[in-house]
Amino acid sequence: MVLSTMNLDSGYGQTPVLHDVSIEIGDQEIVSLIGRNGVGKSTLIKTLIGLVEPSSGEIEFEGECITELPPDRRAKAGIGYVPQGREIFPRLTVEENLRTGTMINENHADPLYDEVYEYFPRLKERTTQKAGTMSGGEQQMLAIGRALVGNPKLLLLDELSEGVQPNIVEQIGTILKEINDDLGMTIFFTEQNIDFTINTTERCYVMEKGSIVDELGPDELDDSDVIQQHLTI
Amino acid sequence: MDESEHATEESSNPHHWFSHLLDRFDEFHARFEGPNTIGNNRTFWAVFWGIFAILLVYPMIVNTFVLKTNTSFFIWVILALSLSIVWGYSGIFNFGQMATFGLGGYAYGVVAINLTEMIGGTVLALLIGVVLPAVVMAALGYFMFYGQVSGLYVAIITLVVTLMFNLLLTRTSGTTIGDAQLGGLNGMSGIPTLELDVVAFSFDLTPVSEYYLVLALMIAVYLGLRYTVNSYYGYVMIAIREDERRTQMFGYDIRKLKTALFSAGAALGGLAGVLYVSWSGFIDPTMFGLVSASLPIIWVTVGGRGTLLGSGIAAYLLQYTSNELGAMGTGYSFIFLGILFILVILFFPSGIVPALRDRWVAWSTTRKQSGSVQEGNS
Amino acid sequence: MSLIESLFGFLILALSHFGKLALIALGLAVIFGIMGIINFAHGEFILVGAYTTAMGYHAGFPLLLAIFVGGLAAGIFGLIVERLIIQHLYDRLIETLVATWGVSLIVIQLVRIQFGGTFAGIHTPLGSIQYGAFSASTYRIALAGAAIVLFASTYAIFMYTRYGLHSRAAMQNKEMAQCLGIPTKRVYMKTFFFGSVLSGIAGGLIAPTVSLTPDMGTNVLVEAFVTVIVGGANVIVGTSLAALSLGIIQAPASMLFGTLGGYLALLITTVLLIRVLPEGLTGVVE
Repeated sequence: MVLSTMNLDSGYGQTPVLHDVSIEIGDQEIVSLIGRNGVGKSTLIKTLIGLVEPSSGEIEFEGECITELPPDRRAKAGIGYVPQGREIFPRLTVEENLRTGTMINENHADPLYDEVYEYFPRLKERTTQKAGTMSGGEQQMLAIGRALVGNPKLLLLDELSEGVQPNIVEQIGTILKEINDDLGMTIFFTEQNIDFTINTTERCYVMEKGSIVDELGPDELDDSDVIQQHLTI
Repeated sequence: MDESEHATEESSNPHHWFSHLLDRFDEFHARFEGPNTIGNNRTFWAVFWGIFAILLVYPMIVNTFVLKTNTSFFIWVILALSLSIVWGYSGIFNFGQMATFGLGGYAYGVVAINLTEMIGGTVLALLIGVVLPAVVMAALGYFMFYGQVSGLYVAIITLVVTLMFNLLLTRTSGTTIGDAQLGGLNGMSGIPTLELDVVAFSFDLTPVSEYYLVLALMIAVYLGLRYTVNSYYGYVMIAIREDERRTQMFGYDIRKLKTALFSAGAALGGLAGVLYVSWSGFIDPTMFGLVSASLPIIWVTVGGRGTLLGSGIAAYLLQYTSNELGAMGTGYSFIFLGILFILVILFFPSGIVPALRDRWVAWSTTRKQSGSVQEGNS
Repeated sequence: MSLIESLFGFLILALSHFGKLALIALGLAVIFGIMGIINFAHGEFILVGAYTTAMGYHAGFPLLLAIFVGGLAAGIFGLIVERLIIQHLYDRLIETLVATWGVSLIVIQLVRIQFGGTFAGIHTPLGSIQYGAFSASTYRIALAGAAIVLFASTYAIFMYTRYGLHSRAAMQNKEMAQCLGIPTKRVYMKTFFFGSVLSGIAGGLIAPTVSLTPDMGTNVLVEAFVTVIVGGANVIVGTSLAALSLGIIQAPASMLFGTLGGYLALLITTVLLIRVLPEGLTGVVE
């Protein structure tokens, strides 16, 4: 087990968002979380990385309780985070952005620059370009590359396809699977794009109103109607 | 919660004269109450008028010197209230409120010295002391707000303008306006006290009548501002502070409103300056120095931005404290004040008065809850 | 005075004004630029540097070593202030401003109690240069060179060290930096220390050109402050450009109307520049 949550309640200030969320993500799995807009997917990811403090429940990473740790300690323990909206550092160059990811997973000494440039050759062409001047798809690649450089044990991705061209989304999906295969990296992401979810994941949690209401295995994932049902009103 | 309490009292005791009186008491204060101020219940007003009563008899208790010092603290309270409106409520980070005070003071001084023989001369001087800062700051406000200057940059410009006044006034050692000598670094002295010649009667301000005048003005300014911030205009001010762009999208002309608020705050600051110079008979350019300029900012921050009561109380207490420390003459007074600022900021980041209010609310709700539990048990 | 002489005089004066403004602003700019807070005790960090330098110099240290010690003393003082106060107030501009104002009051008064109204200064070294009727202190011109060296070193630290990368990342997006394992609190602590050292060195460097009094910090605070604001968000480029343009304005004004006139010209220029360029000179460059 790489990551698990037990009866997690979380939210912003007085506003509760997540209720009694328990999930488990095994070693080298690709797991996704689907649900409509505003059900709390991003809140769960932010609670996992430490930006939102849970009001109760526990988060375990690699068998250690990390519920109380601040985000930088969780990153050092080996969690890579690709946020919604990418949040690359716009006034740093592509290469500098990648270097900011090297603190992730402190047990891993050598940054994976070569691997990142192999997966995303476009980044290699633009090492000295200011990141803020790149397109949405390129920024998304950079955000993934930045988290990847530190060789995290778990990669968290939030709303990957948002604001990115469909063909690039597809490309990124393929690359995520390669990363999972080649590096044995565990991946957990939230998504609203059905095709992307079906093509990329083996297992999928369904969230409604801040709670996990269903868990879909490979068989159900083949049936796109089931997913459609969960994502539409 | 308080309203429902009042309601039950009313219904249980509809014809009782005392309850009737209390209703009148509440009705009178309702216009000063709302979510934008602290102290919206009967207890607060009872304490408020209680303190006012003590202040009314205060001149009979203390000697003239103590009384006169106290009058100056009230003047600082008026200045603090003026900044509380401009900065605390409207979000205009004005580092130059002291400049409005100084401008009012200088204007009053120059006019009063020149018109000392004229009946009503000092009253005219007072008017000019209020209008001049308002006009100057309206011009500065126009310059800033119509040029999209906002946030920290407003603080810088207002501070820099204040320091410019300081520099200009230090170079006026030979300058005279009529009979008034500006006096450069030495300042302007011999400024006559305010004489109120109102239609039929006329009296020079003695320390006691001056005290009452300033007290009345302070209470009037406080209540007037409470009325304003709880009215429609108060909500507009807070809307500007919270989200300028959205307020603009609702059709408000932010630039005009901010200029007007800035200028109105300056008029009030000018009034305080006039009162101060009438009180001291003297003014010098240190009024426009960095140390003076930061005083109102400190009062409002320590007392609690966004509360009139806090700004006023902090101004009074801090001026009182530094006056006492200065009188002791130990040389440690600034050290003490510095430590005080730091401790307040560290332990009461939102200001002393809001912190006390929160504690009071927490305490009184737990008391009420435990009370109702006991009732339930019995 | 011939035209060439006045031109020469103007250049020298502009250079020395640039040097002073750039030196006293750099430490404040680093702290404001990276952490977004205003250190109102900035002048007192310069004071600590200047007084320590003077003490070291009187104790027989060579001037450069004394300046280095002055920078270190200000840095240690900065660390203490950061640990006791600033670390609790990150991202809270106004609260930091009032708290550091408190620090400033304390330091000024302590210095006055301990050392009195004036402190034995340092003779301005390096003599003076003559050109026709015009003469200027060589040391003041050397200060401009020192400013350039300090700016270049600061630039190198921000561009080529891990701390520099982390601080630039934290400046642009603190939460994201933290999510990547960058310990932002440590970065801020180091930044405050670094800014304090720079201020202390600036204090040591200007010590031979000013009189050492308890309110020397207050006197330089406003000039440092407006230079940083006119510069805008970019610590190196913005601040150095601001020091240069303000120096060029201040020099002729103080030649014609004296020190106060120069100061007034500086203030007026600041007000106009903020109105015209709300993002400071950085906005023009980027």
